[in-house]
Amino acid sequence: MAGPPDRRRLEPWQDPKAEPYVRIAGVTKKFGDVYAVDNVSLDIFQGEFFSLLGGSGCGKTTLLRMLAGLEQPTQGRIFIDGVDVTEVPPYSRPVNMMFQSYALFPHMTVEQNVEFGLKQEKMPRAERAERVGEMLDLLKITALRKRRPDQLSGGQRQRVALARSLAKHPKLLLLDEPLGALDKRLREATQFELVNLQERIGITFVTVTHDQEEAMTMSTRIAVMDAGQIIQVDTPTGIYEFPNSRLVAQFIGSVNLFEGKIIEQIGDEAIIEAHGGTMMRMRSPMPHATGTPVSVAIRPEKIRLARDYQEGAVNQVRGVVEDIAYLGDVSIYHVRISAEQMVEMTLANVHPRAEQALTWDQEVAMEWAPTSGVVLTD
Amino acid sequence: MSAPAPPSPPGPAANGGGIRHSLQRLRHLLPYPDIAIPALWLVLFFVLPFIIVLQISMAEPALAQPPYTPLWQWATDGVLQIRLNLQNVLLVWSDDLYLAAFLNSLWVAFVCTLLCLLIGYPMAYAIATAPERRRVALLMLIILPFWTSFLIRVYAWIGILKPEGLLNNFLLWLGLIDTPLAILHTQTAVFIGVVYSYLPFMILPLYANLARMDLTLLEAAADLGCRAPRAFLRITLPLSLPGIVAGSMLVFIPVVGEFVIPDLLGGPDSLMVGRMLWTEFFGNKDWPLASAIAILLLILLVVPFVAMQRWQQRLEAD
Repeated sequence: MAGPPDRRRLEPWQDPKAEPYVRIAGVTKKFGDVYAVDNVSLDIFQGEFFSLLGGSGCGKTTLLRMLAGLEQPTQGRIFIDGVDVTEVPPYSRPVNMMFQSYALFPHMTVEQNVEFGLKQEKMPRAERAERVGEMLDLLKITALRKRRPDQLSGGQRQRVALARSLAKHPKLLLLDEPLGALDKRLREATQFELVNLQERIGITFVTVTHDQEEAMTMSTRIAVMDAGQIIQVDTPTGIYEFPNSRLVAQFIGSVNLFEGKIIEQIGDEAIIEAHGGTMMRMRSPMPHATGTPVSVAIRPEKIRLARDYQEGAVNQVRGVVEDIAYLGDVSIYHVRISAEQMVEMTLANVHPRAEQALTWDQEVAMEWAPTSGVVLTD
Repeated sequence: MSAPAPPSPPGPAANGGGIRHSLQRLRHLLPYPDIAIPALWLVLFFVLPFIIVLQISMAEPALAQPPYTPLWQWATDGVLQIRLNLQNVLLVWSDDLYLAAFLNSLWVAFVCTLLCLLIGYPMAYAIATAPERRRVALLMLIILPFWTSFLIRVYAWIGILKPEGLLNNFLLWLGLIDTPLAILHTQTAVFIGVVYSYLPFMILPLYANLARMDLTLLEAAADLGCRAPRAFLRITLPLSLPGIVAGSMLVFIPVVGEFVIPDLLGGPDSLMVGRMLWTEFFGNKDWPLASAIAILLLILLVVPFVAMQRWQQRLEAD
């Protein structure tokens, strides 16, 4: 195994010549009349930690199961490492899966569970024992080797499931809500562990999750899914800072959406008039025609207090503080700027004993930079 | 609850206190009702009858009411005479006829349990994996025959199996046979009747077990490179072992002592303990001998099953 690759430089999706390791080409899956997955195409590169993110019923799990071979696509093809595996049954695919429920065999010990896959490929006994030892070491569960699954805690089971799915050195590891069954603290600790593990062994991971925070922390790239379709594929930063639609913007983190229309496009900036008359000047590389209805999405932490508020100035609004949530590191302020619209703003609590800068019912002026948000038409 | 009852005031007003007093005395007698009540049940309906039967087995037949001699007698001068007649037990041991009946009973029970398992397992599996709505209907079909009398169902088999019965007529009509097959009053008829009657007792515990199985385990097995037949042997079968054991016991134990089916469908070659018990009790009126057979049958059944249960417990403890 090579040393950990530099993740900043490992961005094969930027390289037009790079060969995708997993290619999902126009895959559709119908259950009866329902499209669980609707014409999805996706390229995943070797060594990626790729996340399929979406609410329940968005088709992410079905897509994962099709990669494992547990579901047959109604249409489309799936390639893994250049080989068309669409018709290959699950037991012959170079792919392993970690199930959401872990699906550990209850009548086998930890050791036997990990060994199961190796036995199926008729690996010689000595080699098998060595590999099992390696896996138990890797996941630090050697002490549990003789236990049965029902004698393990949730976190231990998760490790056993991971060891079992990694034992065969699959080309691709699929993880269905890998941290879903763990409690919050354990989940946060395991997120980093999972990423470190993946970087160490260099196997391509594809994971399914409904937890955007989990996806943001772990992934090289995220595909946001809705109603069987992929809405956006990008790095966590890309998804967060440059969502391509209202849906993605709202799904990941909090966002303020200002509805309005394009007044004028000047170079790569657009002048927008929002409902209520607020004028905005936002960066918008994609030119839009005058009058196009748009939403401007601005994250709460990109909004700051305006020192010199001027009536009618660009990118400024004024309102009354209605709610304050103190979270320790930051405080969240809900500021009402009109009868219909509330603006969410987060400010870092920099000075521990500073007098509360803002209080309830106080009138505040807020502003943001033209580069602090995105202009959305979808 | 455990606080001492206040001293009951004297006089007729003490009536309520009297009831409380007797309740307390009862609680004294039964300190652990959760164990005492089943234990009492067992003593009353198993241990006592067993002792009575054991006692009869060591008596001698007599033309009297009841038809056996008492085990003990007060002789003159306060001497208690106890006569233990071990001949019956020895006779059962030494007479080949009884041994043959025992062995045949075990054989029939063994073969039928195996057949029930082979037929019942796929059926239970199919029901357990059927869609929810069809499952109820299929289970209903298994239970439905119980709504008719057991005796009538066995009788019906006579009509099917007899030389001029449904089965033979059908086979003759198909041209598969020229002369009717002699099935009725043979061991084969006993097998058919027993398997038919006891199949639900195999299917129901197996179904209960298989329906609880997590099907993602099979997906996990497939994902790890295991084809369906192997996954069945490695995952489904071991996990359904408790169901197999439960179903097999429910079939094996009653079949060893089965009387009605061998009596109605069996012939001279299908000598079974149940039939012999009947003959000795009601035909020959030899209660002591019949009791001896019953006791030996019990020992023959209980000892291996207790041993097996011990073994299973030790296996689980490991």
